[in-house]
Amino acid sequence: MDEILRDFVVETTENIDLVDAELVRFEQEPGNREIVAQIFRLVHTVKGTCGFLGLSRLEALAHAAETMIGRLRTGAPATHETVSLVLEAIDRIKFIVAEIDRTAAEPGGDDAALIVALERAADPEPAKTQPDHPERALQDAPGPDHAPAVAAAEADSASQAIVSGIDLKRDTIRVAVSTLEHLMTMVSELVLTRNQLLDVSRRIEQPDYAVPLQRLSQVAGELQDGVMKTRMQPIGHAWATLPRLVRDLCQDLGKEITLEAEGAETEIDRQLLDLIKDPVTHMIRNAADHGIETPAERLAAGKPRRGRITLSATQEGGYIKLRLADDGRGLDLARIRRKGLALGLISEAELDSLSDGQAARLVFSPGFSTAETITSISGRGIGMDIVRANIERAGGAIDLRSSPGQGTTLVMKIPLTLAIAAALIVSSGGQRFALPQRAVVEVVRPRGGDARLDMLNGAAVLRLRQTLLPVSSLDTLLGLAPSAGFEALEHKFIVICQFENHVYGLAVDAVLRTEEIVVKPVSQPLHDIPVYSGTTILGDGTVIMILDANGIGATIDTLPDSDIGHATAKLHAPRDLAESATPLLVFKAGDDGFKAVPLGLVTRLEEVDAAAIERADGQALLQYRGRLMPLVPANDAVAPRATGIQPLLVFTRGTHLAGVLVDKIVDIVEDRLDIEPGGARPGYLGTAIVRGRATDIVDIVTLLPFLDESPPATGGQAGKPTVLLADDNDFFRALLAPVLKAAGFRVHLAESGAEALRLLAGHRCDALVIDLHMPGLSGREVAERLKSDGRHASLRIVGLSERGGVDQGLRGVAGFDDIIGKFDRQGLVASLSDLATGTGLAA
Amino acid sequence: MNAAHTDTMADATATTATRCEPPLKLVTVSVGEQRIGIAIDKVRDVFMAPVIAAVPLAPPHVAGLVNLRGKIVTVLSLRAVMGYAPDPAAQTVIGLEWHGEAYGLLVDGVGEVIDVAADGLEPNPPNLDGRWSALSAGIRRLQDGLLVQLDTMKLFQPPAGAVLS
Repeated sequence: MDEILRDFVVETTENIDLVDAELVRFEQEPGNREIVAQIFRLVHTVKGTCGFLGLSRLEALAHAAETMIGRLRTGAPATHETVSLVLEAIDRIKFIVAEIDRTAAEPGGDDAALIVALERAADPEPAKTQPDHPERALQDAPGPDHAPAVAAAEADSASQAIVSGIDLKRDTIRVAVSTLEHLMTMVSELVLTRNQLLDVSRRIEQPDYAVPLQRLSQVAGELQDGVMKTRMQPIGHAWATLPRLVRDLCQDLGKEITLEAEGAETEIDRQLLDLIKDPVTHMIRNAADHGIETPAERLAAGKPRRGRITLSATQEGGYIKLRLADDGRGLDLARIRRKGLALGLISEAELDSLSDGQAARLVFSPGFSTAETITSISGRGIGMDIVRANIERAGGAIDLRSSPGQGTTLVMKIPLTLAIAAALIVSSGGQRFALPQRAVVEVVRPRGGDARLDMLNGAAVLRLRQTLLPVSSLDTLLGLAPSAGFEALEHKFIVICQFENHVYGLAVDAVLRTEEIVVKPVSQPLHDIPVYSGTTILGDGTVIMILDANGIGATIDTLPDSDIGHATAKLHAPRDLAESATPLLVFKAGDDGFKAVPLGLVTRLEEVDAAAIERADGQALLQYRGRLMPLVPANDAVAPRATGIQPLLVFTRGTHLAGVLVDKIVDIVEDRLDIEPGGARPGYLGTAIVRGRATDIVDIVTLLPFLDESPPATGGQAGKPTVLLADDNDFFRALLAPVLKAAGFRVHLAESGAEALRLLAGHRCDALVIDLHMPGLSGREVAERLKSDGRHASLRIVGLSERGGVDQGLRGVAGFDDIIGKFDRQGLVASLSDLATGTGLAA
Repeated sequence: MNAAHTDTMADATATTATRCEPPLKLVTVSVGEQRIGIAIDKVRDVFMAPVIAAVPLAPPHVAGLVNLRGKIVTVLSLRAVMGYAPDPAAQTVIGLEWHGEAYGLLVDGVGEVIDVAADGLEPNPPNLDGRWSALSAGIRRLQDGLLVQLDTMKLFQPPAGAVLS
């Protein structure tokens, strides 16, 4: 295409976008001359230029439109019809320009009907318009300021257009995007070269180079920032067409909607601008179609007749927060729940425990669309799942809130730029990889304490505080190494990744550093590998792959040969599957019977050389990790071995450390714990059937009292706060009651939800600690009943969860003040600690 | 590299070519014993890549990625495409471009640039190995043997991909 024509197309397209936004304002404020003048200038410029370029169809159309708009400009009233006509004319111009852009020639076709309509509108009987709007006539008529301008308008308009055009563009120039991309590439290379030089200078001391190198380094950095800035554009560019969209939607839907936009000047990488355009448009359609009610419905609901959609952008750190709110009817959560059930997204069992927030988020699930009939407005085959996918592809996140009758708010977080991202550089299988930092929660070593590796159904899982995460080794996933055994995993670093619905541990050989990486797309032959999201060049010039946390998560979930997927599924499975399943460490001590302790209490399993065991004052001791660890026999029948291998269970709590001597570590199993109270045998909680074998459950707290030590409680006996502990499981009641007592609480026990309610009615309690999942009345139901009953407004309710993160969503909803993992005794005490300080308890 | 390979055969074809169409320049490369020609207008550059970063899980014909002056080039191994065992010593790469992405074709060696007649291409013989015929634009008879003219587009298109996998 010839250059003049190309310039014409680019400029006209831009101007049309600007005018589009203005047109809607014009309809709302028909008296606004400035807007009419702007529209007029556009049409006038188009007309003038296309005559010169020989675009006759466009010229005829622009001429007719110009005449009509000229009349508006000189004071003719803007009616709904005239505005629609102007819009139609602009649309037609837009279409023709788009065709010219595509084919470098005007498309065939006829605008006769439109031209006639425009001409008719431009030349109505004056008698008809004037009396209709006497006040306008008065308004416009005198205007000493306006009069000369209006009179000179026709003659002057051409020069006016040129002058204002120069005004607008005086300090900007148009640069091809490819030029900027090239600059960006060169700057990236400069930065890499600088990094290499710095690397060299660190190894070879050359004081002469130090100063210029530092200067080079600084300049290169500033240059990079500067070039990055050229890629930034106001986010409002993606919004320019929205006012028009809303106007058209109103007309199609018979609704009245105001669109308000804030923060249009917030700048964002132009690549991202393109990525968010479609999702935002789709969400506006949704809000107008499903969210905002008809004027009649709104009035009936006591709302203003006119609905409102608010779009706002703010910058927060390296992200842009985009908020889209409507004041419509809100999501129909009951219908979403039904639909989720029908689509198999949730099970019957989950239906009850699903919070409103979780239910609302179901609309992001693939294939979910709440509109039962697909309308032309929002049912275009793409749903919120696609919107979410687009936003997440751009490295962002999306969430929504909805309240019935009040409206729906969508919040999107989008990175400022795709081009540069913070990443963790890790090594695995002899290669390095970049893991985007936004997906990384933390890095742990599975060395006891909070993070321990377990085997579950033959798959490695990481027990991290209260959660159980599937763990996969990166080198195995990438086919660089055979499946890593438990032993091998223990020596690795585990990067905890969280992205979309996936939470998992990724085992790597080393975590090298974090680095700002320049993200480059993967080439076509590598597109189909789900575990990569891009490539980058490191400071030393090496090309490495950027890992896709989401793709890896999906891969882990579907690993065919391992049970990891199954194990994770089990974690998230409804209660009837995973009910009360407790990982237990089974061992033998003193006799042939099986004994067990909850694995969650054990820090580490060790097998040490018996010769290393020392003795002092009749106490067996072991040098262990630089400290002297006391060794306690599991029971009186166990004595430290003199020779051979001594198996040990290591327990830690704070600074305390102790080893429990056993004869043999048998197994780690996960099973339901149905403890039959063990009579009065000291040191045992009772007996349970574990994997079909009668197993004694050891009360490890009587053996190692330090496990129960808590921060010293304050407050006198009289002021002791009271806690009601409700759990159907004897084991947990037995485990937690002493903890709470030691922390300075008076403790009442209940075995069921119903019993808890009964006790609360008769006793004054400061806090209720209740198992979330109990047969009969569940913890959640109890909490909801209590909160709806005004008498218990000051009662602190803490839910006990075996499912860690899954239940965290209940915090703050359903009446729970806090949700704590069942094994997290410290967390439980901490959650109640402010009650124990004694202040505010007098009442 | 100079474009000066002339022998009697090439002279003859060149003479014919002046009559019909301008002669075509081919960059000759070798894989195993086979000589291959690539139209010079498809070749962006020829470079040595001593380090090629392997990409785990990549299709077998992707040798890896190379940093060429700050640009990431996806290197395809012509040996792998043709079913030869990989040669770790190979580092000669022919730079190509497809859909705006930079690619490299790892070959055993690069020879001269030769002039051939635009219309001197013969159809693939029916007994040509399927892997070759999938990528070949046709066969050229040179004085010193046969040359397979590579249709570089077929390296990236589905039919070739189907053969590759």
